[in-house]
Amino acid sequence: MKPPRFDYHAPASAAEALELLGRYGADARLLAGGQSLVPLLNFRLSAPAVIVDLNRAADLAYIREENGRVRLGAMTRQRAIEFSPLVKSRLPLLAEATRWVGHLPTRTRGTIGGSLAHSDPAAEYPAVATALDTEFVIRARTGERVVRVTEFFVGLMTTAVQPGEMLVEVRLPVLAPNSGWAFEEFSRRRGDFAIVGIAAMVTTEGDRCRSARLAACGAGPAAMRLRGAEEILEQGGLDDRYVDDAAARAAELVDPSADLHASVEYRRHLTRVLTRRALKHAVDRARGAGAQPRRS
Amino acid sequence: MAYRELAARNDGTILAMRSRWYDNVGGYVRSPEPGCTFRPIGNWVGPYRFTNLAADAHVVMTNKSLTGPNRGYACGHLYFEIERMVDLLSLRLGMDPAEVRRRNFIQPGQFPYRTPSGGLYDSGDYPAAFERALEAAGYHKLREEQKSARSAGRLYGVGLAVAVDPSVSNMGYVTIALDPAVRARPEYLPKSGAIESATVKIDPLGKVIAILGTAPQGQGHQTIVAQIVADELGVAPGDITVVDEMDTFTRVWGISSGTYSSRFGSVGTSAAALAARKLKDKLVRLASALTETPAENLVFADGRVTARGESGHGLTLKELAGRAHWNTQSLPPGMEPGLEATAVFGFPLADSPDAKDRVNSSNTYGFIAEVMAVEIDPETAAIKILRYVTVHDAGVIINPLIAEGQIVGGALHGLGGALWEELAYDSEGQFLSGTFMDYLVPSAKEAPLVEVEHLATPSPFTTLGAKGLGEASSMTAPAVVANAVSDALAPLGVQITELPITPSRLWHLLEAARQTPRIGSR
Repeated sequence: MKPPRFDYHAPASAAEALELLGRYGADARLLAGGQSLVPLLNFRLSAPAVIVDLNRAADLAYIREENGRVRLGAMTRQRAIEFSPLVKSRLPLLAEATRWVGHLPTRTRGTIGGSLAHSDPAAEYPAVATALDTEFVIRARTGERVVRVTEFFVGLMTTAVQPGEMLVEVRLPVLAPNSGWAFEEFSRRRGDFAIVGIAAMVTTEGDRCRSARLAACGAGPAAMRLRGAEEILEQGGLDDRYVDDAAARAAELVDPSADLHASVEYRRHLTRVLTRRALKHAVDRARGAGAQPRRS
Repeated sequence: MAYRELAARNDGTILAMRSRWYDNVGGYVRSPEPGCTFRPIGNWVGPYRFTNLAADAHVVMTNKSLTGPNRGYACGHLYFEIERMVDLLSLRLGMDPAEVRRRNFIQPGQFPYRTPSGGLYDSGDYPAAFERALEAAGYHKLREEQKSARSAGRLYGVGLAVAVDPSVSNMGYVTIALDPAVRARPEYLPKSGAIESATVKIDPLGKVIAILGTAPQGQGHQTIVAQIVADELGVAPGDITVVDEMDTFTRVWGISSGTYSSRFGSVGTSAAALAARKLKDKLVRLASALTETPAENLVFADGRVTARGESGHGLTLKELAGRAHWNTQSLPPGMEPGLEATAVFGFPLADSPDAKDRVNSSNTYGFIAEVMAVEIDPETAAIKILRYVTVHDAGVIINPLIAEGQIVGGALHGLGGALWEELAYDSEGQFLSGTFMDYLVPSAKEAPLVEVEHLATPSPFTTLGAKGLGEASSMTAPAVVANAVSDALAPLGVQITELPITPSRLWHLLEAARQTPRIGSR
């Protein structure tokens, strides 16, 4: 229940952190909010030689809007996201999902960058990022690259971030007009990782579905985009029968595994139920938004 | 794993129960195991009158985790079995499960009641407590709500559970593990008894000090002992210093001392009250001699002793203590100096088992009656507890706030075992729930509102009439939630026979039932 020995560094900025990463490479692990890494250390499932603690790097915690995207510094606390008026109005899907992330005390420590870079298959934020056209800013001492979500999540707890690099920012597109969103989750206890969670976003154009976005967590080795289900809505529309068809398709698309808490069949079934619930909620919200007076 | 059979008349009268079980105790028998098999032997019939009982118990050692006592030691699964059987009987007879229970209760006039397995139930009014629970829950209204919910296709269930709550285990029960033939040998040394000690003293400055042998770990013994001693000596609870640390070198104690088996409420309070009374008796004799007032005319109140009907200053406890410590010449002839009394309270009916393995395994027996209403999400199989009413008879309640805390805590503890907690293994014997990420303990978010009421039939065997209740609803919660869930799913023909009821398991049961055509049911 105590971590193995490690060298500890607490850089005061992203630049200092990158210096350290450059020096130690694959021997170093980044410590963000510590909600996953610290238990892994204490169980000795992870034994890095060097810990680079980002909690003093104040320049990595911010939320600001720029060019149609909200940019969140990797060290932005989940609690700050929960209470951000900007997130609430511009990224309501992220705001809604945040209420499912752990508990109040863990959200005061946990960060968006830590959650995304850890990429637990049952975590909420990777599903939200997968549902949207998220951009990930990955920086090394030598430079910076921007990776799209389709390239970021590689597999089970694996991302595109390489040794010597770190995730410094995520950029999420702001809510489009005439859009509705919902995050639905089932877990055995409130605050646990999801057995299955579904992130949904739909954008209407009159009676048509201009775009649909669906992603699942807890139903595969990493967060999964459910493109086949989205297409049913984009081609058919948002009526209940298409929503039902999309939910059924989602259950086929996921790739769940069994564990103590849920069988494969139950996870597939929950995917269907939660996709339907999330879509209905999202469609209601989109139509509510559509009913607002429009500029002519 | 247990098998249970029940014999009953068509009018709902239970005639007999027969059970056979296999108790997996893990790698070795950890004392006081295999108590999971026989620790509640005296209350194996629960609150029911039937007298024919057969038990065929097997203890199996495997490479799984060891077992041991937990809150409500062995009673959670005992009442899960009994109360599920009573509901199955109700279903078979088409009778209201409340009515079937009514027809089988031990009646108030039958106490003290000797059970067929040797228990001696001290006191109770099971029908009154049960009716109180039904009334508090609005049982008939819940059944009405169930009717309309069912007609709307909702899965709404009402569950009942009743139990006898045994406290203060008799040291003799553990020897049930031995064959009666072994216990009959001349060289065998029998075991029996259930005792606790307490000391109350007054120092030269009049400070009252109570010393416990119960070694509490947060159960509030200090508060309750202060109340008891204060009441006996006519001072305020805040004036009592309670010493709760335990040292077997310096304390008076017995082999059964400690905090387990809900012992404090019965035997700990008795020892504290007896010690305080012993000391008070001495104070009365001392005050009587000093004031030349007959003992029966002395009143202890507000920290002083005065003569009844007189308005004088009297003597404060401090003044009395001063005399006793500083001027022993003033003591009446023959009185031992100092102000200290120790009492060791022991139950006289905690005998060793008889040749037929019958034993009064506990010493006080409370009663619990519970009503729960649940609704099950037909899609996710999530269980939502809508109402949870529990009525307890633990004799005289000394501190209602602490009693309520114990009951609510016990209820959540029992629900933990019924809905979340499990030492799970895969088919290769790999342990699956080795961390609190997987061994799911319910938190405040999972806690339902527990509506608590009390009935008090004092125990004739304890000094204050109090009984233990610290384990309480941990025994009934698994039964009441399993009955409520089974009731909700009765239209589908699903009966809960296994715990914990996880959403994944329950969904598989629902799926299987939906795919099986049903022929009419209640």
